[in-house]
Amino acid sequence: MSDLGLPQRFLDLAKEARGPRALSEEGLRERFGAPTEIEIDAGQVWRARWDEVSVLVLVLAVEDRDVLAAPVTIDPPAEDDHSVVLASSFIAFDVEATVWAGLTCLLPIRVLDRPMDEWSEDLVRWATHTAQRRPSATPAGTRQGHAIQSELDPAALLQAELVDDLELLSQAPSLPVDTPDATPRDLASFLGTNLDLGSLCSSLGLGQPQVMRLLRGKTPLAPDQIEIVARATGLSSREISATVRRLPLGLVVKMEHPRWRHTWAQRAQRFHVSEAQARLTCSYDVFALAARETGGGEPDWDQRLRQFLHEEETDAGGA
Amino acid sequence: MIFQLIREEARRFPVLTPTDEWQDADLEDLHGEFIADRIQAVTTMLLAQASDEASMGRLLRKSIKYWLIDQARKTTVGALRRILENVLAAEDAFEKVPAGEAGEGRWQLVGTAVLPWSGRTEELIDTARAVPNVKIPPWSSTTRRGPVADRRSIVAVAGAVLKVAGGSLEIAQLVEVFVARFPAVLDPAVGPLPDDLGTSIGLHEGLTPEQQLIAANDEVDAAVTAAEVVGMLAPWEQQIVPHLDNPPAIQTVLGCGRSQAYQHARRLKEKLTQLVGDGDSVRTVGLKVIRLCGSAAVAE
Repeated sequence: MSDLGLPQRFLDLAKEARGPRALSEEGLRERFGAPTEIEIDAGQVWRARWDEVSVLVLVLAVEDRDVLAAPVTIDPPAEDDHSVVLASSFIAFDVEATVWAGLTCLLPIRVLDRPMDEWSEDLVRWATHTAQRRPSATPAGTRQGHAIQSELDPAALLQAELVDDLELLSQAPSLPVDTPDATPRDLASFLGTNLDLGSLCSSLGLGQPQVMRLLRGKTPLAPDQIEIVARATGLSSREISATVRRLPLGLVVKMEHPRWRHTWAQRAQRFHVSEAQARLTCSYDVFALAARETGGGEPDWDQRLRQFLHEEETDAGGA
Repeated sequence: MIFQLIREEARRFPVLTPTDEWQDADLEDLHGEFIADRIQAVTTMLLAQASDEASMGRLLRKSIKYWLIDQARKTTVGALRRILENVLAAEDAFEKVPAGEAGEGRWQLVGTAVLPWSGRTEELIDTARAVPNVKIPPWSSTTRRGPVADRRSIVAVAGAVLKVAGGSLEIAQLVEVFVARFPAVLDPAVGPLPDDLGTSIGLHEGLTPEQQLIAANDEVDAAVTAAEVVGMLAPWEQQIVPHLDNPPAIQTVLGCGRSQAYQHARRLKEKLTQLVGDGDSVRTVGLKVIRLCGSAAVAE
């Protein structure tokens, strides 16, 4: 018996339950390569995560900045009549999992965190058809989920929790993206003759060069800075945030790709900021770096980010 | 971590509480059962979904909560089976299929000598739902388990189901029908979590169900019935009754997401429909339930 007084057979069970090797770091790298080289594809099962919310999703289709995805649950066990339950022998999880095709929705790519498994085309086809309320035969290795008979069934609450989690994920903050119809004015031209540089420097606690970069929209205003500028100028927060120069779509797509999430998480920890803020600041730094370089065409943003990170590391090493 | 979470969560389930309150040995048993039952799936879920220790704690708490709900429902199903068997055995209208005949040990209506039934359970459930004037006796949400229905209603439902089946039924089949007909009975009372990590529900600590019963004593029958119904609701359910058509208000009261608020509203409406019943005074009773819960919320 243990200190807890648990029978040894329970402790043995707990010790044996290490989970499938396929989900270990080593197993994931073997199947999907290094996190920095990952590509998103239909049929992959991803961990989608933002702040405190974490949901597994089966990717049905990939768009520029979004994926069409159906949530997947392993535990607690639950199902509805628009779901299928996958047999453990057909997936890397080694336990049954439920695909909730009826809850399929668009999720921003920026919430995808790590691929966990890859499932069959048949399953993707079934989930896509079911999401569109088109009849489709259940794929091999699955069984149709049972309907929730009553709102008092715990599965009904679990389903509602899942929908709320998906909604929270869909609202994860994005980078400000430039659009063809947008005609942004920088803060300097917006303030015009009302600009009081000295007062702004003092309010923000920054030097003139840094404030000038903010005024020209070359550095993003952090949420707290937007509030300070709004108070100092008498304008609304919305008006101030609209003056921040927006980033090119190509850059945003790359920076929001999950292959860089580990980088944002590390920088967030290092600089004591949120993941969203770490990504925002670094994206503007990369944008500024590219703006200083010559050459036509769309820059290789991934390469620019690697270059920026390398230079930053070199500077830090030399300092 | 699992043991600590089970210790915290188990105290929220009155129906699972042992007669002499929770002892360490009971919690260790519960811990052991959880490990034996769910450890493989939970381990895999955590490997796939958890990104850090905090998220692991949240996910694990959720798994434990739903597992305990499942355990609470199982104990209620066991009790329901015993009640049904007792009622069927005591009533002259029912008998067991005699030894040596097809369907030996099943239940049938007296004198029908029918074959074992093997149809769609949904038909029997529909029949059970159509039985009028079913009465669920009052109980207090502070007691451990609610009754299914009064004896006369149980007899009426079982009789109607056996008649439509036209065959003998296993007790398990009858239990399945009763579970679907009376889901509110299986709905375990879940208490608050003292210092829940971001998921606590602010509970109304005002009038107890018993005090509400006393306060309603001098009112007309409908008011008494309404007070009885209120007493059958958990405190957090009483709080959201006045907001059943206003899910955003439920969101505020319970601090939950939008879909959960809508689900809580639908769930409580279904529960109230069962508890209030389908008698002539259903509308009056329903309104009084809302008023009682509303005044309780105001008193708070």
